[in-house]
Amino acid sequence: MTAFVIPLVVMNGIAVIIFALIMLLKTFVASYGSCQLVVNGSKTFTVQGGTYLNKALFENKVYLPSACGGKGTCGFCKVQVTEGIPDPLPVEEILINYKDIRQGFRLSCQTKLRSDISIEIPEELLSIREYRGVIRSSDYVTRDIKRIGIHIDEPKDGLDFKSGQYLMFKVGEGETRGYSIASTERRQDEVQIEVKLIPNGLGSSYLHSLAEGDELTFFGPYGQFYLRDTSHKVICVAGGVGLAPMKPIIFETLLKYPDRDVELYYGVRTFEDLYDHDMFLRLQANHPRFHYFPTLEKLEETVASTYAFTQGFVNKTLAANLTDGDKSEAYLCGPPLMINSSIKELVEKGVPEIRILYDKF
Amino acid sequence: MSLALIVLASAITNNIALTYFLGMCPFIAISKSLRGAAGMGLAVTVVVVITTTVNYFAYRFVLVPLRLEFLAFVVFIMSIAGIVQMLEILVERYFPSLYSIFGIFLPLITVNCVILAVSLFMVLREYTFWGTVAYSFGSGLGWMIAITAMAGLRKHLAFSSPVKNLGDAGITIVLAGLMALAFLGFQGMLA
Repeated sequence: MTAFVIPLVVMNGIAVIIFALIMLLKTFVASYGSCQLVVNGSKTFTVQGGTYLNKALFENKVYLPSACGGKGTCGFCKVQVTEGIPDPLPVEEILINYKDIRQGFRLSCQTKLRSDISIEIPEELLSIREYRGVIRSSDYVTRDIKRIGIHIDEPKDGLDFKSGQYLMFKVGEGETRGYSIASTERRQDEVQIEVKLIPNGLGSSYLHSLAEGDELTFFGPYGQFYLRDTSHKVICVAGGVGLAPMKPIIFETLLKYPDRDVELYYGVRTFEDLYDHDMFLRLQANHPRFHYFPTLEKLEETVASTYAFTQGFVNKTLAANLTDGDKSEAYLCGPPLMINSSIKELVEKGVPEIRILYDKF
Repeated sequence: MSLALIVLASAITNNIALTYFLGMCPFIAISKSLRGAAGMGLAVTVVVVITTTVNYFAYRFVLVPLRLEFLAFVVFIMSIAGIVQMLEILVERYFPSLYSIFGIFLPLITVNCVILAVSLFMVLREYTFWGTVAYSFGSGLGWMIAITAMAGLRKHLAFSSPVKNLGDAGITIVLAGLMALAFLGFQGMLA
């Protein structure tokens, strides 16, 4: 009998002692008073010391972008600390370059508040809000891409965004994922996104599992990838589900700018991956200023369409059809390989590099 | 065996990273930058000395008198996990600048097998108390030497072009093998 009891008592005794010591340290050592948090020199919050900067900002309704859920791997939540700059952590040295580290840029998810702190964030981040919506529709447009329509319930004045920007969806406790706004029609209380199912992907499998009537929470709008107010020709280069942010860009250009041409270069793997093909063909027929160049990587004999597709990669179609590169600006969204090869092609065609905007995923 | 000999033997001739190939995961992963490698090495050294000393007392004065030597694994793992957490809290509160150097490595150390291995070797080799301290310090120091040397080599690797498919981690393992061969040269230096 004692042969069983003694080991158990010893093991549990040691575990309890260690646990008690940790709890004691947590209560008496790891407690920091309250700190002043100043944002952009104008807003001052009093927050509990010992919390992370991103959590403190979140509680005060300042929503920084984040794709990794505060693990310090995406680098989106970078802020500039102007007063009370903490020493950089090794994770930050990987994601932020040396010059920025010296100027006080830090990851807000890695910065623990131990004393008063002042930070600078881009002014537009202060206008980001939390939205609550209900799913109105969720339909497959290809075998793995779902188009999800969301009705915005809260706040009542709805969502105002720039064409090409994205929203961060809450997909789990503390986890958010970004998806581009894909609405063709601009409405304050409705928004559409397009989600490609990635096997074992946290965000896409969550959003694919939602049905009509389910509620969801998101933040936005984020991103420097939006239609610029110029008079240049708009060149959209999209790969796969990268088509999503192009739709607001195309429709806004056609509606708002009577003298800007739009060209859409759209590359997918096979005919089955192609979506909104008919819509763009109709748009091309109705709008002389819109030109549509779909490209299939693999062209099968049995394609159920009479359209004469180009076969190959998008950059090949770009090379063959793009003119007036120096009077154009380009918007690219798709996988990195496609973006890199297309940027090379665009530069060769004379598009200035500062007018090439892209969103890699 | 004098204490200095134990330190030298465990740090150089029986280097824990290069002769036993223990703690390989952080050895490959954290040796990308010199600062990070030095921080990790320092953290391992500090933690290994503290945990092995605590484990020495737990083993000698609790487990052996009660004839519970078979519980050594469980007790060692529990004490390592607990001590690492306590250290993290203490360092963060009282040495914030030190925390910024090896703060994030501390939780990683919980699963670094060097720490457990040193405690287990301590039992196998039946060191005295000061022998234990010297041995654990030497092992931590040896691991730190190995990882900082590797980080220095990898800095040069950035300017060379190894075989394409050998990539980053692959060539690092080859390098570790070559370093181990070089350390073999120390064998026999200390009888």
